Amino acid sequence: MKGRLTTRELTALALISSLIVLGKSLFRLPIHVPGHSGIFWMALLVVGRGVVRRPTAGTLMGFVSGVLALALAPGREGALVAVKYLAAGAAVDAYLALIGGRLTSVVAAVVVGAVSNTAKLVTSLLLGFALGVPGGYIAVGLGLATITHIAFGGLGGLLGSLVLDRLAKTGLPQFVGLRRPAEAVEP
Amino acid sequence: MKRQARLLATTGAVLAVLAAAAFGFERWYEAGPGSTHAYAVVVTRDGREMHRFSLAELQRLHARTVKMQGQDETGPTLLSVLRAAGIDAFSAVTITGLGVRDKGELELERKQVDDRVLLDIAKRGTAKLCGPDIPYASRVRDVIRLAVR
Repeated sequence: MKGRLTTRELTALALISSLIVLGKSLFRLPIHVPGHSGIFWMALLVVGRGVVRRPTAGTLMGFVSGVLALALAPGREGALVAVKYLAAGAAVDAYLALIGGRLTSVVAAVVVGAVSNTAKLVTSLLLGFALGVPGGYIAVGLGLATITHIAFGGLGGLLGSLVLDRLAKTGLPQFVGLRRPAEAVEP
Repeated sequence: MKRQARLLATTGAVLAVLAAAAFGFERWYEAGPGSTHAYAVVVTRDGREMHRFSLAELQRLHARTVKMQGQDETGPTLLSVLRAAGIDAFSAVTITGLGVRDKGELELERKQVDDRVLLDIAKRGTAKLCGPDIPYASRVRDVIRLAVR
């Protein structure tokens, strides 16, 4: 798909970007596990990238949600908080470009979610170093955090894939392209 | 399709290696260069160091569970930590954290500190100051210093 983004695509991306920021604030689970917000965040990124099948859709969602997060809840990281969102979105695009596929496969969606949430963690670590946080504090709990980011990112990808599947089954013209190859009906 | 399946499998393997490397880095840092900079909470009184609590020491103190903002927090009370550092009386305490995920500092008057103010031990292995009367936004995560006056 080439050319400029349509108004419908831009609206969908803006809406999903807002949901990412709102979801991160509203669906804070009291489970004290790092990276758990990825289950909502990555699901929305996967849905957004699946609905708007453009090579830069993930990066755009990351950028817009980063700007929104910066405006709504900048925290101590200030402007750098936007970098985390941008990294997660860009990771989705970069990985999909690498595997040359679309999010029609459940396995691809799970791996994309895991990669994207891990990219967010790696960016957070790099920002921590940039902000002068001692290595010892960054190292504390890093192994567990990596595992949970991968797991929750993967779960988010799975959730996103299921949502895409349901959207495809609605039969609405804008979602027809979401069908898995085996399910696609010849015109 | 085969190429995509190979790439997905490779990515899974890379993520597994990354997780193993993160655990390895954590262990290596704790045993090597990090052994002298391991996580600790330092208690000072008028600028003088009274005690340096390692995570293990904090975990050995009697832990309480208090429900606050709809969830259970568990850890030693701030008063018990100060007592273990040899401080029984004070007028105010300034709690300082790394300030990465919050403002990183909170000052409490003596009357604001009761047995429901905790140093909750978070899963990532650092202490978080919280209490039912302390707003969520004012909590101090990754506490590194308790300065008592």
